[in-house]
Amino acid sequence: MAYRVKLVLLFVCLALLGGAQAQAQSGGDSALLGPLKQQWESIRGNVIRTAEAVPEDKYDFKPTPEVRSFRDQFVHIVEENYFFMGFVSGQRNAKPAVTPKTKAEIIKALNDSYDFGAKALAGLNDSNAMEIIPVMGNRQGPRWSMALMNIVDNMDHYGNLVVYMRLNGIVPPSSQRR
Amino acid sequence: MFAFLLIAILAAAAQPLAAQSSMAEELRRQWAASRRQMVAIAEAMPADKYGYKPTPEVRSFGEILNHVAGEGRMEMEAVGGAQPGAPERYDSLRDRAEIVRALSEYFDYGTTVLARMTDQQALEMVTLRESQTPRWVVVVGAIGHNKEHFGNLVTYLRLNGITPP
Repeated sequence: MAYRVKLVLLFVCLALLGGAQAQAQSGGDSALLGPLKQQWESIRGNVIRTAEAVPEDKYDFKPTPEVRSFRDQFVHIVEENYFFMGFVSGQRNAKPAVTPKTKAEIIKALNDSYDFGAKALAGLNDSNAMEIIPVMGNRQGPRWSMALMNIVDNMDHYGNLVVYMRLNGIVPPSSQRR
Repeated sequence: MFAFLLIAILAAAAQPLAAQSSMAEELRRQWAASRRQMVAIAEAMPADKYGYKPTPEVRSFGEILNHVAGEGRMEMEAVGGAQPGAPERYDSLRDRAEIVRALSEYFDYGTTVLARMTDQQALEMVTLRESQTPRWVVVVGAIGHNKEHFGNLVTYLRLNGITPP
């Protein structure tokens, strides 16, 4: 009797184990990775449309002398995307071949950096996303958290850019649909 | 022997779940960071500048904080399983002390909701704005929303000659 109970338990455990692994391998559309990719594309859309909406002769605008200009913000976001997503993909030294200067070069560099991030996210499954790795600030943290930090940090810069745009009479892309 | 095998299998089965406890923990960590940041910037702006806005068509410094607290509170209520209240509930506040109090209450509420959250619950769906969204996504949405408006407020401070905290 006890043996049979154990045998049933064994099969239950094996089924659970198999299920957990199948879920881990299914990747893309899980409740973790699906929304993470969606949020990456969402902030990408807002930043790229900002870079497009600002006329090139305003790229050096800054609201006060001590802060970043539009151009500096965009270049910083490019660097930030490679930095954070480098933790996610493990490619820690990726960066643009040259520092982008013109508006066209900046939009291209931004797109490349978001593609780099999208590729890093495409390489995740539910199992390696949760893996604890060395992350920014001499901490250990889950791999997916660096993607999250990247998105949230982009939001911070986008929040600056929204005010820069308003100061130049430009309606921010995130407000245009409302 | 059999018992040993059983324990080994149980341990193996439990491992992916144990590794996933990083999920709710990460949300708690980022929530705490967001709280520190938002409260610090709210306190950095003098009370008589709470009505400041850089251009006529946008929210003032105080109005942004009311909006952050109201929207976020509604979202965290959905996450916690309470009836979500109106996002405009703080919109009439004008006094700095009252606004900072509402902001703190919002973060405290979120902290309480997150304190009892498991990874499994983080991945479960809740209803928000008539659609089904995983809890963690709503939390991250609130954190991202806080941060986007933090970005606005940083520039508002700069425009008033104040170095952000």
